[in-house]
Formats: sequence, C-alpha cells, structure tokens
Amino acid sequence: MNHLSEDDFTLLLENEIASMPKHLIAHFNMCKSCKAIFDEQRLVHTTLVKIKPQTAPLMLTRKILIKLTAMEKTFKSNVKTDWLFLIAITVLFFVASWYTYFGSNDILTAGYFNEINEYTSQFNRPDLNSILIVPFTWLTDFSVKTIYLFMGIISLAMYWLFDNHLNGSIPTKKS
Amino acid sequence: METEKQIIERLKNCDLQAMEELMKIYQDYVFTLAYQIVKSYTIAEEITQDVFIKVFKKIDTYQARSKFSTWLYTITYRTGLNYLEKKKITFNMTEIENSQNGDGDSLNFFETVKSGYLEDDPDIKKILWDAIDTIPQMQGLVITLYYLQQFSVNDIAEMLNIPQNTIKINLFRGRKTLKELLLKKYKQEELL
Repeated sequence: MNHLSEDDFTLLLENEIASMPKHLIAHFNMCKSCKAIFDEQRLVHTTLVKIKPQTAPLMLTRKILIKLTAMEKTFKSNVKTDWLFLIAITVLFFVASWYTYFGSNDILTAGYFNEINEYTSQFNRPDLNSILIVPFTWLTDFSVKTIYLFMGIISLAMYWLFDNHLNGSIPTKKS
Repeated sequence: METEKQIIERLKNCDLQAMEELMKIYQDYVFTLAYQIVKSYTIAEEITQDVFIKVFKKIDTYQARSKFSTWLYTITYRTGLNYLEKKKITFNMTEIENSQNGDGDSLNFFETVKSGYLEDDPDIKKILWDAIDTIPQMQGLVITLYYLQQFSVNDIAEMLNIPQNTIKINLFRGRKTLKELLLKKYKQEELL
C-alpha cells in the first residue's frame, strides 16, 4: 500500500482535497498512519497560520532614514560637483580643441617636424597667430604628448561622471 | 487612507516619508526573513538596512507586475544569500541544527494556541520563533514566507527560484521538525 506523499499532505492542508485522486482520498480515510501524520501536520499548520513576525530592532527605521537622508545630501552635493566638473571639462576640451586646430603648426614644431615647420611657418596665418595663438604663447610649450595627457584626463573625468550615474550609486531624482 | 500603490508612487519621487511608511509596514517582515537566512540578529539588521536602501535606489525598476512584497522579499533573499556567499557560508538546506532541549516546561503549547491564539503574547511568539530558528535554514525560510506573508507555494518557488516540489517538501519537513522540537520542549502528554 502506497502512503500519501509529502506533496499530498500539503494539498490536504491547503484544502485542495477535491483536486486529489479518489484512491488517495480513500487511502487517507483508511490508513491510520497517514491520518496520524496529517493530524500532526495540521496541528502545526493551525499554529503557524497565526504567527506574527519577529520585532525588528527599535532604532532600525531611524538608522535607515539617517542613511537615506545622508544619501540625499550626497546626491545634491554630487549634482553641484558634477556641474562644476562638467563646466571645467567643457572649458578644457574647448581650449584643447582650439589649440589643436589653430596652433597645430606650433605643436608640430616642438621637436617633431622641424623641417615641415620651417616650410609651413612661411604660410602661418599672422592674423590668427596674433589673435589666437599669441595670447596663449605659454601653451606653445605643450607637446603632442601633453595634448594626449589632456585628452586622457578628460576621458577619465567623463568616465567618472557617467559611471556615477549609470551604476546607480547616485539615485536619479525624477521630480 | 493611502494605498500601498500611492506610497510607492511617492517613493518613486524620492519621498523619504513614503519610505518611512513602507518601513513601518514591512521592516519586521524583512527582518524576520533576513534572520531566517543569516541566523544572526546583528547581521539581519544590517541586511534589513541594505534592503531598504536598495529599495529606495531601485524603486524605479519595480514594475508592479508582481506584488510589492514579492519584489521586496526577493531582494531580501538575494541580499541575504549574497552576504552568505561573501562570507563563504553555505546556506543550510538539509542539516538539522542542534535543537534546544527543553526543561520540561509544563505549558501545553499547542492547546494554548488552539484554545485561542494569544497573538500579542510575546512568550508564544518567542517560543515559535525559537523553534523556527533551530530548524534547517531552507525549512525556516519557506515556513516564514508561507505562513507569515501567506505566499502560495508557486509564489515562493518563483521567488527563491527553486521547484515547487522542493518547497512542498520543505514545508512538510519543516512542520514535522517543528512539532518534534516543540514536543521536546513541552510535555507531550498534555498535547495529545
């Protein structure tokens, strides 16, 4: 004789007796062993149905709220920092682009293509040199490597900026 | 009276008061569930904090396709498991931990419960939770989810990502173990 399975007892407890095959119901009515198991299960079941949760520590809500408030503040200050950072990056990027475009000949002269420079310097734009390059003559010390470094810093900064938002470490404020 | 849905909408706008209201409703349940996973009050408290912070950060991802509680307990379960994984502790599926052998207290536990459950009686609650705490983790977890939040076997299977049959077996064995534990602690002759 096959006794009822653990699954069958769960069905019985959930009052799904109607969904059980007739031979199982017949067995349950006849078998004292299964009836005893069912009584045992029902006893615990009726007790557990009314169970209440354990009480969380008293200060838990307060602790969480303090953390969340701190997060909000960090978020707000981060937003300010992000804006300053973005402006700084834009300015740097603008200067870098400006110099790369208008001062390319001067950069190339920094020990790399002297011959070319000698040739191209004859065709330098005096107006642009006086207007755009001369005020930034200190920049003429820059080498190509410096420009790469510049771009590297910008890339890192952009990465930092977007990473902070994309990985969700700063909650996005919708309202 | 504000519905849960409205509270969640407010929470999506980063309303901390909404968060406080949700915590009032759920923190005991989250704490209880976390405790069933890690079996330590201090760590369960930490996990509860982490869970609510995650809820605050990720509430935008809650789509309301499932019940909020299902979403919340899934986060709790995963956070608990992650903790155990980090600490390289194996989630106890089968082994029965040392049961607390009682001192033969004369309280007829089940009869007291049957004759009218003293819902607010801290002693009854403590006895039950002490017993649940000593059964294997998976059984305790399934019993907590099934009885405390009245999730169906199907819901729990989805939440824990394990087959329904495993849930049923754990429920059955959990009840059996609980009865044995409670009988050990309280006089058997008075129960039957």
